[in-house]
Amino acid sequence: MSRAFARDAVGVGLRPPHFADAFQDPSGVDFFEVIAENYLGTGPVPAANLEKARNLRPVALHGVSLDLLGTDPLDLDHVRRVGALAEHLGAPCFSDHLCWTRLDTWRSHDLLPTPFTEEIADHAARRAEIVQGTLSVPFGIENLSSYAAFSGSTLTEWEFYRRVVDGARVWRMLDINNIFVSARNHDFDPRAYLESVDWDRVLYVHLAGHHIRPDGLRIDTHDAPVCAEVWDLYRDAWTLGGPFPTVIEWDDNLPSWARLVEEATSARRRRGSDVAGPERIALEAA
Amino acid sequence: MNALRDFQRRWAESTSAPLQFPGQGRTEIPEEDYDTQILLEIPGSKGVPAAARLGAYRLQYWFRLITLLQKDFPLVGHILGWEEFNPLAARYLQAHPPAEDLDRLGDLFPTWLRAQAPSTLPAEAARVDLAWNQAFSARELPAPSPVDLDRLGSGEIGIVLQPAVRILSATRDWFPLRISILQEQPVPGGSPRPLRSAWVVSRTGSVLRAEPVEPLLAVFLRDLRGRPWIDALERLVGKHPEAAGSISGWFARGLALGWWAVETC
Repeated sequence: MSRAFARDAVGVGLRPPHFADAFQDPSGVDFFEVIAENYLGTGPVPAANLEKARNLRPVALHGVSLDLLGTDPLDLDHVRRVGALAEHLGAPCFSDHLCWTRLDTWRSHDLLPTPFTEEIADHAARRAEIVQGTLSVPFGIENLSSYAAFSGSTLTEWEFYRRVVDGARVWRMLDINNIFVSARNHDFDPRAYLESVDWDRVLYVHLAGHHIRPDGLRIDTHDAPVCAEVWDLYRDAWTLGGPFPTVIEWDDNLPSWARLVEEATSARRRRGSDVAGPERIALEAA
Repeated sequence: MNALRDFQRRWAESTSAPLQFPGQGRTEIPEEDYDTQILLEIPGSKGVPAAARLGAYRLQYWFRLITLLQKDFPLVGHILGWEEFNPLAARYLQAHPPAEDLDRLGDLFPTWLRAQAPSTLPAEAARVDLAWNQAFSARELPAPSPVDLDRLGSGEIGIVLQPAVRILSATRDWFPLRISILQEQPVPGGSPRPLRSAWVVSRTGSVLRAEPVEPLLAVFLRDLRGRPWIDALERLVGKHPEAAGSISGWFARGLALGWWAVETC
């Protein structure tokens, strides 16, 4: 049975170094998000920890290897395994990125961009539709942060993203930090991006920290607190489309569990409550 | 989608081209490696040229993988130092590019290292690191219950090695050092004290252990991998009759340390 979370819930990306503290005191966190690929193997230690997590809070699954913008055949076996894990956990949803990750035998282990064109968006939408059709839980697509733009692009990033989500009739998993990072790297207005979002199709949003290189390029490192400008953008998003669930991602240079919970508490505090909307997210596979 | 695939091929070749490690901990990105067409496809802006933007992905590709090897092989890093480890890791990754499953990224690192390094110590450290990692991620079969033990002579069940059990030989007492590194405790520099022995690495639940064992027990355990208990025993006693008196003690020891799994015949 699916364990949905409240529409204004705040969760965190749960990482192994936090297991002991999180399992001892999960208060302050409404749900966990875990990287699906880390729990698809046969290792008993990850499986046991995932069971503990799901007994405490709803667990949303987040993936990194779907390869929606890829040109290799979609790995349906992987999608089915994710689906089985989602059903086992009673996960409310699964999300992955609007990116490509592999080519033939080459594996990037990174989330890579392509030019933004109608043809490529339609290609990704067809793949996303197959993914949703294979899963029994709602499938959300996360917008990418990027460090390179392409002369071959004919759409803005938000037009491209919308065309994929609408074409596949799936959900958005909207990363506010990614919008900000890409906006700074490619010189567009992040608020124009937010205004393009159909908020009733947002599963939840991500917040994270990022790194600024000496040359000014912003890198999506998830290794720092959420910066003031991203908090401001989050507040704008909340005003435009809240309430929506929120996840704090922190993957490197990990803080203590208490500090991570503090960041989640910050999200509640900073967004205010001047929005109206449904109290619980009503999720259905499209 | 042919154009997209061609673009992705140019990207993959450009971002996985090797980095250079000129020494003193520095990393350089040789930009002459880039496909000229892909540089034309990426407009530079805001003072950040195309090559620097592509270079951000190239650095991420290499450092994500090198960092994983650093994490999986802390003993090798400890004895070599990261300045020496990182270029070695990069060369290994060129020889053995990553597959889908990053848990197996370092499977061939000990063997590859043995062929590269003049000293055998880094390869030995790598074997210890790998055994530890494999023991951690191996699946766990049911351990024999008291009822199972009563049925052992019936021919209905047999005893096999738990998949987590790893047997290796080493010339140093690596394991206390590895535990200290993992627990982020201060550790002395250099190699650990000499201690030539066979070792058994095993896991019960989430607890990993390493035990020095006598040579004949190591021979028996190696033979037991993929072979019924009785066959392994007959082979051992056939070659080493003096082992017969040790079997019951070994069995009890393995039972206490979680080495055995039960298999229905």
